[in-house]
Amino acid sequence: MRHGEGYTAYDLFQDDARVQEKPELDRFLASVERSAFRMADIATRNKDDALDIVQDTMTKLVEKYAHKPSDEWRPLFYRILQSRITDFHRRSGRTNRIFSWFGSEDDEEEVYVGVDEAGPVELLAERLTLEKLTTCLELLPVRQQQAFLLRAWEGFSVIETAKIMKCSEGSVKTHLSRATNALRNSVEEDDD
Amino acid sequence: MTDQLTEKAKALLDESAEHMDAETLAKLHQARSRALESDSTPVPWYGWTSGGLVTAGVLLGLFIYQSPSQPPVYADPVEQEIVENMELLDDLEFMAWMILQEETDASS
Repeated sequence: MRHGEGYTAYDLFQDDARVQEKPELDRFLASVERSAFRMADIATRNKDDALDIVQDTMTKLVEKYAHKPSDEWRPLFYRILQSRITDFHRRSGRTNRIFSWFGSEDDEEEVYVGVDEAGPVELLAERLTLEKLTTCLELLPVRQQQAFLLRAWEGFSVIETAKIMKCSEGSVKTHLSRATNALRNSVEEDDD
Repeated sequence: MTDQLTEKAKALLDESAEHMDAETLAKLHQARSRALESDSTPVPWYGWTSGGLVTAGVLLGLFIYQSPSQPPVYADPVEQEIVENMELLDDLEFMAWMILQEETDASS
């Protein structure tokens, strides 16, 4: 499903009617749609694909879990989103082919690398820009992207992130550590 | 996850989400409206029962008319349903985990 063309005033009127039927769900989706789109955009590097993923995620949440307590929607939403992103990469076959030099997705179980302490973090943080961050995240394997965005941006705990990503807590720590090191190295390399 | 590089990354991502272009925001609004249009009514027990009967009928038909080269279908309709709904079961397991987490939080 592609988005955009032929949206009329009547469509907007109908949208408002739908919102009035499910105001709490509408507020929830409005609160997560931007971060969901950014995550999907970074993962797919294509705005149309990202919109499709967000649309599918929203639809599944409404269809399957609208009747659940509202405090359960957020982890469910991100779990569906990550599944859709993983499915996208499986279908496109990119994950292992393009990013193979970063290491296999399967060899990271329980191997916590730890954070590289080289260089003053304060100075590196000052040099980090959105463009540099986006480029670095786009180059990461999708599982590292997910771990970083769920933990660092969305603030999920390690155990919540593990459940959302359907992996062990050790894997989350490993993915996160590698993502953080890649980000640090990316900023440091630009300074050389 | 409290180092300054991560904090800066979070701030940049927040800012990028806050200042999205109007076209993308309009498309997200459309996506949300389409999702809300979806039917979210839980299926009542008799819905599952009638669905199971229909599935059993279809399976019986397949069993009678399938050619030898076709892959086997599960004779037990419940087993067939389980295989077809692995994703749903996975989500149910996640729901059970969340409830357990809430109970643990409440008791601690």
